Amino acid sequence: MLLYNIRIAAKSLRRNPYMTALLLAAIALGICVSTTFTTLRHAFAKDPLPGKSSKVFYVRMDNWDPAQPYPGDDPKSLPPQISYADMRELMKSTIPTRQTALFISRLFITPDPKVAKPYQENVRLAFSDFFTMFDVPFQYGSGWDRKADAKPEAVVVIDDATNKKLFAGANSVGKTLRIDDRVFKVVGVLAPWRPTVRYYDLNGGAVNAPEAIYLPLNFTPLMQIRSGGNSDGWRNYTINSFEEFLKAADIDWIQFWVELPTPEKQQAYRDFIDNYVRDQKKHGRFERPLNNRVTNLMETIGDFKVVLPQLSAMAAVSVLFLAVCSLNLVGLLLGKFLARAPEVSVRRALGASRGQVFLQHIVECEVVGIIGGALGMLLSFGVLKFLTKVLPGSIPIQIDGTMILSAVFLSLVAGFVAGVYPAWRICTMPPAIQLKLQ
Amino acid sequence: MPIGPIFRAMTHNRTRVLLIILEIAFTLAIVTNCVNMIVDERSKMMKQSGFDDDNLLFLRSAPFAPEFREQQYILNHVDSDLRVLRAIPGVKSAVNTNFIPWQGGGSSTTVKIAGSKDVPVRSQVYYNKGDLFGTLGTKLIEGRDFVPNDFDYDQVNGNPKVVIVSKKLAELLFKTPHVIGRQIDDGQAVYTIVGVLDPFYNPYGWPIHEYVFFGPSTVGSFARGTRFLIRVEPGAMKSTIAAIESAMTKSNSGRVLTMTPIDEIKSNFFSGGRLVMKAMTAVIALLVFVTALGIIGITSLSVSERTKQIGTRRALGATRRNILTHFILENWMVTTAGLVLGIAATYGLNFLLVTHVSGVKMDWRYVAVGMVLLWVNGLIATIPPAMRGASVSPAVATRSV
Amino acid sequence: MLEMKNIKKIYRTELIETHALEDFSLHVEAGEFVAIMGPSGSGKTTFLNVAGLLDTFDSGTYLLDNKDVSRLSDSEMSRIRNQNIGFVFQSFNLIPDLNVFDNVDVPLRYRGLSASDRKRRIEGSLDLVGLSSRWKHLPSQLSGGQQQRVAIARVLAGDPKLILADEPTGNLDSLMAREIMDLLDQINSRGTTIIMVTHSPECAARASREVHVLDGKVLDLERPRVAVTRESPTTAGLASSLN
Repeated sequence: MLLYNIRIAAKSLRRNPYMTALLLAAIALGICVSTTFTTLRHAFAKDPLPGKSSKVFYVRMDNWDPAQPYPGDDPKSLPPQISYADMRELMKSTIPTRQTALFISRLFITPDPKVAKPYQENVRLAFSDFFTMFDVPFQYGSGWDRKADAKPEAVVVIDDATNKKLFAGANSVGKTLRIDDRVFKVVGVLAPWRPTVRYYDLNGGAVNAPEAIYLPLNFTPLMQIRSGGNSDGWRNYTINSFEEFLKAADIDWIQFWVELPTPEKQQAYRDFIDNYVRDQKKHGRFERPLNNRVTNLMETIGDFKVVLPQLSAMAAVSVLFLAVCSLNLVGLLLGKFLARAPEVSVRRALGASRGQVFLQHIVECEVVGIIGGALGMLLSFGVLKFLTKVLPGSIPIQIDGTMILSAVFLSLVAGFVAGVYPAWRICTMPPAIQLKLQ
Repeated sequence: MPIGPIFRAMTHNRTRVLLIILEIAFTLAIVTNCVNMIVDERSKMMKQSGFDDDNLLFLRSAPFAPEFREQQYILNHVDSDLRVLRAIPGVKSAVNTNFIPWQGGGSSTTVKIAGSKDVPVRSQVYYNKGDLFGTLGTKLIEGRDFVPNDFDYDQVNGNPKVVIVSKKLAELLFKTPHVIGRQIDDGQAVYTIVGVLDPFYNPYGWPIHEYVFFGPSTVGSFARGTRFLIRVEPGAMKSTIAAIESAMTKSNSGRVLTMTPIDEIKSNFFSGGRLVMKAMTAVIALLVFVTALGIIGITSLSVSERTKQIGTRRALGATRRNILTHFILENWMVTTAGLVLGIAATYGLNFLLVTHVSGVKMDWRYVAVGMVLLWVNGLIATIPPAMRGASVSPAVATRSV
Repeated sequence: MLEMKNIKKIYRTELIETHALEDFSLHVEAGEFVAIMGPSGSGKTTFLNVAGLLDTFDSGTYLLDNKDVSRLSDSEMSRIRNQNIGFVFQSFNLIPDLNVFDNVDVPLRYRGLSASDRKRRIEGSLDLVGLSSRWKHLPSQLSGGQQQRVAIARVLAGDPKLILADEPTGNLDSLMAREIMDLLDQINSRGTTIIMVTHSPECAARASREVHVLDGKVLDLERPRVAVTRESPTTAGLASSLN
């Protein structure tokens, strides 16, 4: 019966191409606009590390000025990063199965003079767990191991673009690279990698591309590497050397992540942080009320307001847009169906029940919904491709499985919502009324 | 034209009338809220920095030659760089500073009136050496610019003695712009105010866009390089960039130069906002189009359903004009009802957006503009099907269907 | 086959009440071919609608095939229409989008028959009306008489016990009308009950019995003939041959 109804729907749609075009245009526009804007929002709001995001936690501690809270809308706002000195202490914990401190810097790369001139590049300082914690994709080699962290060994991971630029895209594992005044051995080459949100560092430029170069963080004191990202401080220090700068316990410029796979570990780690802060309070630090946040990845993305409120507003408006398109469809379908009353009367006389007539018409609406929805999605693909080009920093916005499913769902819902009233009207019409009039 | 009969006729067509009313109400709500968002974004973009943005150029010199590891060497080099820059034809003036307009951020600290027990307030803070006012194009409204004496202190480890503050910061701290000779304290040192500048606007992550103080200092380090702002002669941006590249490289080739016009930085800063504006404009256009299609569709339907009735009216002496007016009047009444409902929907949606997502409160003028737009849209959309109705021949009346 | 007693049907609008059927009683035996005659507005069509379960009635009793059908749900009525009743309309009422084959298929679809069963029935009935070569044509490509034959094939495919025909020859010229009447005769002779509303005395003459309707009532003068026909098929045959 369903196939039969689809065949009838196809015939009916072919019969009046003008009306069909209007119907399809209404759904396609609605789906295109709603899919485009919800995808835009979704690209920033979605889980970048499915299955793992609830186990990866970002650590913050309120070491701000006792006189006033860290600037922000929330009275409980706290510095978004931690200090190098605190990081050193936290790294001693054995509760997390993995942990990494991170910061970004800009360093000089001096390639083989025959290949390229010296240039400055964004470098991510990290511990070995960074690569495994955040599922960083490799095409050659891998990240370094924990032994390399400890020494530290002069190893480096480079991204695909750097590998293409400096090593012509070949497997460069084992090759060397001069960064600032040291020579590093390449141990891994990343696969092309451009998440929409740079989820492992949401401080300033959360939608920037991942960095080109990755170095063991323990080179920081050895090479006197300073953060190229945000740093926050409130206390006044007299700093005469890089060592003193690293010891300044209330200058916050380090991101700190831990992996805590079980609720027990999560509780244990929260206790560990609280105890650490309580202990520090005895030394005259952390004078504000106890305010630590150990948040999983999605909570962190929420806290850092990665999703622009305008995007949410546009997503909401775009769904309303689809609603208006559906209202439009109701009018058009009502007209289309009522014009067909004589035919429906014949079918009723020949024994079609109300349910069968209703089904026939709803199927027709859903056929319109699906075809129009597919057209809308195609349009949306195009629009998003265009948007990706226009957006600064070529932020990738892709329609993923979730968005395709939601577009299909929205198309079906729009078809049903628009069709249910016209179909009900036509199926409850008394069967006798139109038979004489044809 | 009698409104009564038209109204009574409409009550027999409740569904259809209700559909148009709802559609128009929704459309008004969406259109006005989009306009509201567009105007909000636009007002952010229209905000003037107070600088000659069009002719400003940002130059970053990132050294790699080992001699730059010596901090004093970097500081000394800035003076020669400034001399080189000023000598380039097309360069009006140049300043070494860590301030870059329209980045969406910068550096900040907290200050209070020196010696007071006030809670410190947050302010942007930058340092500069060279012609700050001549380069930015902002005005010194009171006091003086930095003089060479102001730089006579240990620039590597010490603190300057004087600062120049923005008028807005002066007013925030002292409740008056006349603050020459007053002192402020950032917790690190006490500074005497020697000048007040105005205007100053640099969007920041926190609401301190107009609060700033500048200190006299050469700015640069091996890790972060040295930065300059350069004001070029109007229209000379392109040629000057090339001239700067060659002159600076000639003076010292142990560094990498990158130059970005402030216009480009500004346009990057607003690219999100521009996208929002364009997207909203597209939504408005599409929506008005869809609504027009809807009105055309539904009016066509009611015209074709009433073909016989129209024929009869014509046979009874109605002119084409009468028929046309009938349909237009009918749609006008429906549109108006939709718009009235739409006012409520507009404020409802605005309330929801403001409380749950983001946005600013609705300005009633946009509602008025939206209503006029949709009125006109409704009228235009009604005309084609109404014309078709008006062209129905009176002979239809006598034809049996 | 059909037993109506004191059926009353009133159409109400805001202003007036129309008594379409007033105390309408009729009895039709299985295998009969009854012609219903009467002027416009006499209630013929209302009777047909009520008889075909296309419309409800206000009071009275109606037994169809010994089954009380006065209190049936919409879907029960749909099922009876689909399986037991076949309609032939004045304006054929074929579905313009569907070809001949698919038009005949329509009621079978609602019956949920298997594809092979449907195909057998459709081909058989198109054979009977002599249109099996035209199964691919659209209604608009056929003459009026052919269209009506498709409509009859649509009825035959469903193999109903009762056929209700509403002016089946009203839109046809006399030659085609005769063909259609021959077809109906043939169907009736195979045992299917036919009730036909008509204006044309010529068509009515082909029926085994005429019933006259006026102002929503069956005219009394028909009663004796009804009785005669019921009691003795031979007299009925005699009566019709006399006509």
